[in-house]
Amino acid sequence: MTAHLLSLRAGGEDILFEFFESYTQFAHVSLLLAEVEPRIAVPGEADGRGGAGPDHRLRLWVRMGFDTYHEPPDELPAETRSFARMCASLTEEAEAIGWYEQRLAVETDPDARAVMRDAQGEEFKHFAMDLEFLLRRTPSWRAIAEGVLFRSGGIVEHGEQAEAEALDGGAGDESAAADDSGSLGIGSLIGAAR
Amino acid sequence: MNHLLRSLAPITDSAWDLLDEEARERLTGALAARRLVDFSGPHGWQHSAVNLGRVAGVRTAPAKGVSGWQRQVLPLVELRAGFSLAREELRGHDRGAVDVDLAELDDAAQRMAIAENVAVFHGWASAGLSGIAEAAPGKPIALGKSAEAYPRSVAGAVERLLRRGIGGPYGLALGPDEFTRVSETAEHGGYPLLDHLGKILSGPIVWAPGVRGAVVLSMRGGDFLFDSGQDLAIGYEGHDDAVVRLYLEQSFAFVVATPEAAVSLSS
Repeated sequence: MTAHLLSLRAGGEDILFEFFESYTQFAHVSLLLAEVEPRIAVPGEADGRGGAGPDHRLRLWVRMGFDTYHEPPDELPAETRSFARMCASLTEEAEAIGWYEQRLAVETDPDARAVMRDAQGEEFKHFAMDLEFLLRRTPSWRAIAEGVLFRSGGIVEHGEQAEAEALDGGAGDESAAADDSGSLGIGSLIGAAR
Repeated sequence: MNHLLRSLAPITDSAWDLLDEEARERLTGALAARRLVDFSGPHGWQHSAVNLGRVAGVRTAPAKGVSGWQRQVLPLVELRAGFSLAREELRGHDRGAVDVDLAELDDAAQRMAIAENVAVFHGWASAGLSGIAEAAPGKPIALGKSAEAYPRSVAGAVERLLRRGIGGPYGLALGPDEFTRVSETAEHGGYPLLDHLGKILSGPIVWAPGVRGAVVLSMRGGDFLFDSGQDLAIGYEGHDDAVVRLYLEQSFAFVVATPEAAVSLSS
């Protein structure tokens, strides 16, 4: 199958989108996009060459929900690209967890349910690993997460308090993550400036 | 409110920010071990021991036909450095003074940093902590009186680690006198000795108050673990009309998992 690069326009921004690998996928996506946005222009049809084949580069006007990079990848440092990939992975794992939850809600075959439950457990693990990676790279995110996760009581209250302590309390930088222990937040100094 | 009782102190939020920032600044420069060894935690004030994964036999059993083993753990130690501050100085800060006298806090921070460095690099026998330099096998390498001889000594230590199969990068903890000598010395041709040593080590060179001589250690990870319970914090002890009595405190344990991942250098 030939890979196709589609240039899509969303809200005035040009975004390079992943390729489609088959006519079937391509046709399906085209139909979907046409339903969402009637102004879609397919060059193959507009210029009378008929149809949009695999060699056509298309410019479509659609809204996109998520893409790995929001800025030109070649302008981003490597660690930011890794961070963005892990954010994308986290999103995909959360989506998969939701899909399995829906399938489990309607599936009645016990063997099928067991397989789905097992598969969903894998997604739980992947999600947790993605999240831990991201939190390790983002101390202020970690500080807020520590104030919210695995605590009983009001989630919103914990969130507001954790945000205030981690960000407004001046502990949003890497060297001074705040917590509710009264700690100075020094922790490890490996790699820290003298 | 937690065990530090900070909210009971006659200290405004702004003054607490001042004290915390001053302590953080003073400690960060002097806490050498945290620049070189793995750090786990902080696990909180209620964290009391590190799991060593080992057991000791129990001589008697509660019934015939059974035997028992007792888990071995390394208890955390609590380290505290007290200090007093004049309330008039803190009131001055609240009025906008920029020259608040925090000398006692600075001194406590220095004592705390030295104590942590000594515990990690030279051990704290009465608390059951073994230090990196003392645990390192083999005879210490002599640094020599002149800093110009340091590259040979440090290269020898790195070679010794390589021969043991210990990978890098390698870090160097230098006692204050040794660090001063290195900082002041330029080799023939004007190349700073500090840079030369950095190239030999591929890792940091750290000023380590409290360290006697120097220690070269691997920073590949997994060899030396600083386990933090309550990380460094300022707590409240009491007050009268004139002074507030405070303290710097932390709880920690230190485990040397791979003694051969370090080489001691004597001055």
